[in-house]
Amino acid sequence: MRALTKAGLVALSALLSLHAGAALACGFQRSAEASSDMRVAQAGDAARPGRGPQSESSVPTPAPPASTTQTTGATNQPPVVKQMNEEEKQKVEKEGK
Amino acid sequence: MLHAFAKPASEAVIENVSRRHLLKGVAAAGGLVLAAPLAGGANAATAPAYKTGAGAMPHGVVVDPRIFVSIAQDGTVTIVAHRAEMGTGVRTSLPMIVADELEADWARVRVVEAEGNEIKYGNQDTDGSRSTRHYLVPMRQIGAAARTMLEEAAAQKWNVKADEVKAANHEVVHAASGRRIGYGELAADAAKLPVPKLDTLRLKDESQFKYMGKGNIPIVDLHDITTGKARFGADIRPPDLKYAVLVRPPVVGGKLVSFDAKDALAVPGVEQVIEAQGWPWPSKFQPLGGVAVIARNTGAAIKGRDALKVVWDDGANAKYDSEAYRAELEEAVRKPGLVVRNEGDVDAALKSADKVIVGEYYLPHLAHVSMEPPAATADVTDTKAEIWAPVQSPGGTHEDIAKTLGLPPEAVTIHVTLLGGGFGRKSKCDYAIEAALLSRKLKAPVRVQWTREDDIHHDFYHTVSAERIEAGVDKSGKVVAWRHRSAAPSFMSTFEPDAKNESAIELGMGLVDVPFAIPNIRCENPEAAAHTRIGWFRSVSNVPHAFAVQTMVAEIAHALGRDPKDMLLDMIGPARMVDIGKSTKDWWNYGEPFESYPVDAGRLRRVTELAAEKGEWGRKLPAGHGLGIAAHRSFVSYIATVIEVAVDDKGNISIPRVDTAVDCGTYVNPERIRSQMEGAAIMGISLAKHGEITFKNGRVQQGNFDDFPVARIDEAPAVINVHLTPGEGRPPGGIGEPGVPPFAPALCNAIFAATGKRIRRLPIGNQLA
Repeated sequence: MRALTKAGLVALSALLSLHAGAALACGFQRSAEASSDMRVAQAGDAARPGRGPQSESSVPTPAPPASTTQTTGATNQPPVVKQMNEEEKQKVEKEGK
Repeated sequence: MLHAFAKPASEAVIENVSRRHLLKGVAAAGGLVLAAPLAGGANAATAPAYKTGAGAMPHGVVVDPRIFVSIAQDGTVTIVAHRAEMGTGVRTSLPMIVADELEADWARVRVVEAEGNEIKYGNQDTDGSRSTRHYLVPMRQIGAAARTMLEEAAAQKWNVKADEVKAANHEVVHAASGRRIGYGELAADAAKLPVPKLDTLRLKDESQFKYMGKGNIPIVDLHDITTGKARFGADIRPPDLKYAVLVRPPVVGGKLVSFDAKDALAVPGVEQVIEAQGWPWPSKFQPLGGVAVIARNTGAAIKGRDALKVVWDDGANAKYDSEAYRAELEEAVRKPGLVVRNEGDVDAALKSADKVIVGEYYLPHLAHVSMEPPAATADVTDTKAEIWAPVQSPGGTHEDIAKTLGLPPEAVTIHVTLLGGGFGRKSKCDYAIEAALLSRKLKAPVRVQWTREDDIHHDFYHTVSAERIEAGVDKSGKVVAWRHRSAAPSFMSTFEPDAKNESAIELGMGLVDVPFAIPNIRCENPEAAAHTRIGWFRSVSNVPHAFAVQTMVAEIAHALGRDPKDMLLDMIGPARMVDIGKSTKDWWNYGEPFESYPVDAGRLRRVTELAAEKGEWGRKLPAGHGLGIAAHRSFVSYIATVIEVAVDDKGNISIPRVDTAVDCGTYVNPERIRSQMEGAAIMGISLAKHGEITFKNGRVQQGNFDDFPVARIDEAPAVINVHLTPGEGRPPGGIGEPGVPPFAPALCNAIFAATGKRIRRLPIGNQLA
């Protein structure tokens, strides 16, 4: 039964990938493979919306590699948020989380 | 008609000068407070003689039956639950305490949720495993005060002395004459009476409890939850509601450059696409900003978002790579760091030790993934804001919404829905602020719905951690030196741009407070700057610290050829109070006074022995099975867990049995304690087997349960036995979180016993394949 389910999902994923494009197909095959040992994927999994915008890009940035010693937090918060930060810091230091 | 025990503010009796700042605010709000420190103002006969940190919490404690209790003419008793319900059962347990002292018939009790208003109700932060710990006595006092007022009203009605009457099971009885009268008939007269002073209250003797400690009360929300009637964050639909989903900067510290909404606006149901306001990180719990798609329903909004084209500036964390960062963290703990506890001379003791055993451990970021993703509904005008949201911090949400919108606090109302899980994520109200900002902009009610992907991509993550422990052992096999270095980004980085070291709070969660009888102990904390939002996750820093410490104990036992349970007991040492404060500064004891909540090695020993006894430590097991043990104090409770694991020849794990021993002092609702320990086991399996959030180019690489799995039913332990120690009058400890920390090390110790494979990096994943 499980083999049938997996085979069916792979076939379905291949069919849908024709419509959904390569990116979706990759996601679908991953779901089908995962189903063999973790879960039975549903046919609608990869087709359902909600994965986020289809087109996102970023402008080049001069960000340094992240390190344990270099903080990257901004210090240009508006006064109200700066005050909220400070008050929360004091609150957490006092009461814990 | 309801008769709340309410009086005009002018008649308010205000006590306790130490809390004038609070009481001034209460009086201004028209309430009445009978407030006092929990033990200081009451004599030994009226209140348990212990102090807690409750009074030091923001807005402290309010003990006032007029705020928490009302009685209708038909006798229905309504009790306000001022803490958020996220599965712990607190909406049942706290009112149950009031009902017991009130002598109310639980079948005639109704529970209502308080709005977010800490001036009125006192502190409402539902985190830190504090609710019962801080409110056992105040809730008893509230119930006792209301009972006393009802008795007084009956005595006046019958023209007899108050001590001749007695409340019992929802009525007051005058035994001498045989007269009796129900609470509903007395409520109006009782409401006119002054609230008795704390030191005049008669609290029930423990032997008289009908509900407390019995485990005979199902949670009040059980029926509604199981029949779909319960209202969670996404169930709020005011008229003319608009539905919003957002696309947020994929890298923390990033910001929007531009977006193209043409295709999104073509999706049927999509009404508008607008930029959403955000703030530069770190900005407490403020939204990240981005683009909001507004639609006639959530599905359309999600489809519209899918059709967006967005360009980001990823900012200063654009190169955050968690695998590279892991290497740095592991290197950091191989070098000296900030000394945060120092006792004896560790360097000399390690140098002269007969044997030095070293353990290095790594635990990754985790996401909270409560089953209900964040959602909030807001209706904001120029002059007021009304919010419906599943929030753990109703008072904090109230403050943040008011400040963000620039409204006076009294113009903001926070309605708290049920939470479909919280685990610390919903202490942060960014999603409620998003809804409020959009509602103000659109001049309409707006619900913001997060998808699972939103939840996993934009969490306040559990920290990532490297831990290194060096233990020096002398010729007799005694551990004489312990050096534990822990490096992990601090949750203070969510408020503080320059945070590099763990705060005293995080250090106090299983690092500096290790209660071992070792003469030379040093704890160090190398720097670890954060590159994403760090938040508190159920049990917080206890998770990595306990994993390292309890795994290391088993490693030492193996190196010495000792039984792990015996080794653990030896290292805990004899029953005694461990004075952590003498060797560390600014030690944080979960906000509690040491005299009420000492570090009691005897209690840790006792749960260890109890778990071993009940778990039949040492029993003969089939091939491929193993037993593991771990014990840990957190949130001032003591927990030990024995796990039996079975590992097949493909490395698949199953858990036939778990035995957990719990010493949380005085307890109220044992049924809920068992359920919390069961939940902790499931969460422990999830984080041990599967849990890992990774980053590449600053972006979270996981997005849903296919790549960030949680434990499924077939992975759950076949049997979970929970063994409670008698309360013995001790102050209550926490329960919501302490079951988690010992689970993963006990499991991994069991795996070692079964396979000989030591797990030093979580998750276990395919390490056994």
